[in-house]
Amino acid sequence: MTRIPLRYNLRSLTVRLSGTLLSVVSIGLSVGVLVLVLSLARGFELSLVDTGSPENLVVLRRGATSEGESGMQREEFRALRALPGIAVGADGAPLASAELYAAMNLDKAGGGSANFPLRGVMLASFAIRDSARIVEGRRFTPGTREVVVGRALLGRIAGCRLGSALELQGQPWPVVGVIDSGGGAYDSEIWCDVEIFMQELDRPVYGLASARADTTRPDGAERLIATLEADPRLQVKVQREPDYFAKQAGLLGDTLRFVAYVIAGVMAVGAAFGTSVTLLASLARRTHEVGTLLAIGFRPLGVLVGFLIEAVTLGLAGGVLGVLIALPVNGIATGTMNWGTFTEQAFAFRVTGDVVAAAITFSTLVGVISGLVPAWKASRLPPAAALRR
Amino acid sequence: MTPWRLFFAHLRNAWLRVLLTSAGVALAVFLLTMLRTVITTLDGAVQAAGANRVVVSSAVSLFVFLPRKIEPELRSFPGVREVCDWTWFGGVYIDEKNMFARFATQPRELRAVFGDRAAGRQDILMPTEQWDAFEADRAGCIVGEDIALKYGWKPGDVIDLIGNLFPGDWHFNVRGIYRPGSGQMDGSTMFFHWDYLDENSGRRGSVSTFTLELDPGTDIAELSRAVDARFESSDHRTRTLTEAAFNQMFVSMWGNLPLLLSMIGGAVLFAAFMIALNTLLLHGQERRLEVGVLRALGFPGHTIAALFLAEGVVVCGAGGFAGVLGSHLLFNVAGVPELDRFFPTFAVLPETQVLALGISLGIGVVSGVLPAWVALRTPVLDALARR
Amino acid sequence: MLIRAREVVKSYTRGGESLRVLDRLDLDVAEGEWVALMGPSGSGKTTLLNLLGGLDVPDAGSIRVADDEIVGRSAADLAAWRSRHVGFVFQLYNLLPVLTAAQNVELPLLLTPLSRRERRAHVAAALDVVGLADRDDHLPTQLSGGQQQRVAIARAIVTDPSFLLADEPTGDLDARSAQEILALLGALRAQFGKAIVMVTHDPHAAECADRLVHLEKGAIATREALVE
Repeated sequence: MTRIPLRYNLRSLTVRLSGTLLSVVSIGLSVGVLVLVLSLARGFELSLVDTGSPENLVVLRRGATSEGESGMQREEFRALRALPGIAVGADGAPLASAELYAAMNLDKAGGGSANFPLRGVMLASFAIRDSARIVEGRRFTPGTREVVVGRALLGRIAGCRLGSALELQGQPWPVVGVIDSGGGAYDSEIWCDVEIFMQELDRPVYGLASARADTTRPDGAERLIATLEADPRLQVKVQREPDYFAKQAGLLGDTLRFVAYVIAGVMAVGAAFGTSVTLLASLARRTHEVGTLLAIGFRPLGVLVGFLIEAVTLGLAGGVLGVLIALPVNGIATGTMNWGTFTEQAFAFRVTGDVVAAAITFSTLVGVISGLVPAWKASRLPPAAALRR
Repeated sequence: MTPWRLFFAHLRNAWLRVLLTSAGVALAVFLLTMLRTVITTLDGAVQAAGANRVVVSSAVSLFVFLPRKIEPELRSFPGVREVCDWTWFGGVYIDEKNMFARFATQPRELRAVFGDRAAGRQDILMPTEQWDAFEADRAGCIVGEDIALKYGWKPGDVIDLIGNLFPGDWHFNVRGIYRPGSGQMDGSTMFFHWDYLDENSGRRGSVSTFTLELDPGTDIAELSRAVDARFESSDHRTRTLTEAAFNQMFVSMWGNLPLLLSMIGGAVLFAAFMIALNTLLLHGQERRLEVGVLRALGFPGHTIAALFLAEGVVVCGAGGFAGVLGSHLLFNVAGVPELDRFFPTFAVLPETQVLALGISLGIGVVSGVLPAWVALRTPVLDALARR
Repeated sequence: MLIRAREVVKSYTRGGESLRVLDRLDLDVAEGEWVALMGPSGSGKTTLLNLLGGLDVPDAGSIRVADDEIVGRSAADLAAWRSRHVGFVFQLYNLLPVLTAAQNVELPLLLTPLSRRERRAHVAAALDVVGLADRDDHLPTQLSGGQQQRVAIARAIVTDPSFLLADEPTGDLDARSAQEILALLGALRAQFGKAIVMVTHDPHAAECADRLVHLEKGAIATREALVE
C-alpha cells in the first residue's frame, strides 16, 4: 500500500497562510456564483415542475411551444370532447376543458406593471387540473368576471386579495377564491371563465384544451394521446401535464444552469490557476522537505496523492465558503421573465441539497485541477536533489 | 534609474506563475466584458430608440390585438407623419429551437419609417431594388443578415413556417436581406406582408402594435395622452409609449437580471483581484532579500515600488488585454448563436473594452501596491536577515 | 579622519526589555585604514557596522564620515548617501540570483548618471580587479562561494565608495577561499586606498587588518594596533 504523508500535507497549508486564504476566497467566489445561479434555476424549476398529474393531457396547436402560443377552433374542441378515452366526471360529462392562456398587463402592488398569466377555463378544469385546489373562497361563477387567483400572486398585484377586485380592461374582476397548487405553476396564475376571457380579448378561438385520460383502461393516457394526435380534424400536439411544465421549466432552467456553469466554470479555472500558483510556491519552499519524505521511503505516488489532497482541501474549503456566501439568498423571492409564456414567474432562490452537492463536487474538481501540476512536479523531485539546499 | 532588468528577469524566471496569473485575470476580464455586454445590450435597445417615434399597443396586454381599421384615425392626429403596424407572428421554422422574431407589417410603411435612406431613415439598410421587390410580392419577406447567414437564405429562396398563433403552413419568398443600421433593429428579424397574413388567417384585421413617426418638435407626451384618451372608452383601449419606453418594458421583464449580473461581476472582479494579489504578495515575500539588498545599495523606495507596480500592471494588463481580445474575437467577430436567441444585438462595446482594460490595470496597480508597501515598511536590516 | 563616531548609543527592545547594544561608543577610522571588529555574539559589532553604513540610526551620538554628519538624516537621504560612500560586503554575498555576475555588479551604477557604455566599462574593470572578468555572464548559482563573494566585492567597489563595510566576509567560505578574499581586500586597500571596516569571528582574518577593535557589551574593550 502506498502511504500518503497526509498530516504533513495538511499542515503545509499553513506555510503561507495568505496564499491559502486568497486561493480559498477565489475558489469560494466562483462557487458562490455557481450556487447563486443554480439556486435561481432550481427555484424557477421548482415553481413549475411537480405541477399536475400524468393522466392529465395538455392539448396544444401543433407547432406551439407554450399554452400562450396555441390556438384551437371551437369545432376542434367539440370534436376532441367527443373522442373516446376521456375520463368522465362526477356529473357524467367528459373531463375535457377548453382554455385560453394569455399574459395580461396588470398593475403591481408596489407600482409599475408586469405581465401575469390569465387562464380562461371551463369549470371542468377544476376537476382536471386538480392539483390546483381552492383553499379559500370558491370557484368563479361562469358567465361573470369573477376570478380565482394563485396563492403566490396575493399581494403582488394591485387589488389581488379575497374580497377585492383586479382591474382589467377598465373593469373590476372580483377575486372570489384562492388557488394553492403546493408550490406549482398554478400558484402564479389567475383563472377566469374562458368565454368571458375570449370576449374581453376579442378572440374568436380557444387557446388549448386540457383533458383527463380514462385510466381505468390500460395505457389510457398513451392511447388518448395517440387518438388525439392521429385525428385528422385536430392539428394538435399532446403532452402530459407534468411533462409540459417540466419542459417549460427546462427552457429557462437549462439556460440558467448552462449560464451558471459557464460563468462559474470560467471563474473557477481562473481560481484554479491562482491556487496552482500558491501550491507551486509552497512546493518551491518545501523542496527539501519533500526530498526528505522521498528519502525516508514515501513513494512518488504517495507524494502525488498527498499534494492532490492538499489541493482538494483548498478546493473544498473554497466550496464551503462559496455555499456560505450564497446561502443568504435562499428563500429570497424574485420574479423573472418566463420566456416560454412571456409572463412574470414568481419564485424564490432555492439552495437545495442538490445545489449544494453540485457546488461541493465542483469545488473538489477545481481543487484537483489546481493540484495536478504541483502534485506531478512534487512527485517527480529526485530525493537527492530535493535534499540540496 | 530603475533596474528594469530585474523586472524582466523575474518575469522570465517565474514564467509559469506569471502565465497562470495572467490567464486567471484574462478569464475574469473576459467574464466581466461578457456580463457588462449583457447589460449594455439591454440598455442599448432603450437608447437606440428613435426620438420621434411612439408605439401604440393594447392597454390590456401586448398579446391582445388592436384592429387595423383604427389606422386612419391614428394618422389623423396632428404631428403624425407616418404609421406602420407590426404584428407578432410567432410560428416555428423547422424546429422550435430556431428562434427569431417574425413580424407581419406593411412593407411600404416599414420602408418609409425605418428604411428610407433618402429621408434619413437608416434603421433597416437594404438596396432599393430589394425594397421594391419586397413591396411587389405579396408572399415576399425580408430577413436580417444574421439569420440569412445562419440559415443560408438568399433572395429567391422560400422559407416555410409552421403557424401556431396563426395555424397553418406558411410559405414566404425571400425578397431582400437587410443590414441593421441602428441599435433599434437587429440582424435576426423577418418581416412580411400583413395583407398576406390577414387573408390567410380569416381576415381578422388585427395587428399587435402601431409605430407612429412624428414630425420633429411634436409634443410626444401630449400626443400620447390624446391617442390613449381617444380610445379610452372603446373596446380596444390603447397604451402609447415612446419607442424607448416600449423597449424599456421588455428590458424590465428581465426583472432583477441586471442586478444579479452586477453582483456576479463584482464577485468576478474580486476573484481576479485575489488571484493577482496572491501572486504579487508571493513575489514580495520571495524578494524580501532582494529588496533589502537594493535598499542597502541605496536605491530609493519609489524604485522598489515601481518594480512591484510594474509587475502588477504588466501581469494584469496582459491578462486584461487577452480577456478583452478573447471576448472581442468570440462575440464581435465569431458570434455565439446561443446568445442570439436572447440578445440578437450582442456586441461588446468599445467603452466596455476600455473599461475592462482599465479595471485590469487598476487591479494590477492595487495588487502591486500592497507588496511594495510591505517591502518598504520592512526595515532594511530585517529584509537582509535570513530566516 | 575618515570616520569619526562619538558617544554612539543604540538600544533594542526585545520582549519588553530594553537592551543597550552600543553604550556611548567612540571609534575613529583613518583614510585607508583596515579595521577588524571582533567580539562575542551580542557585543554590538554588527550593529556598529550597520550604523556606520547608514542602514540603521543610533539613538544618540554622532557619526561623521568625511566631515559629513550622517545621524539625523532622512531615510531617502541616507539611501542616496549610501550609494555614493559605502560598499557593502555581506557574509552570504547577497547577490541577486536572477542577475548575472556583471548585472549584479552593474546594479549600484544604475544610481549614478553614468551612460550605459561607461557603466559597462566600470563593470568590466571591477570584475577584472576581482579576477572574474571571464565569468561576467554567469548566474550566481553557477559560481562557487568564493567566486560569489568576489562578485559581491566587485559590486561594492564599482561605484568607487569612500569605504567598504564587510560583515563576516569569510564566514561562509572554506579556508582557501577565505584566504583569497582576504588577499583581495588587502590588495584593494593597497591599490585604491579604501578604508575597510570588517566584522569577523576569524582571528586569522583579523590578523590581516591594521587594527583590531574588540567589542565587549557595547563598548570597546581593548584597542590594539597591529603593526605589520
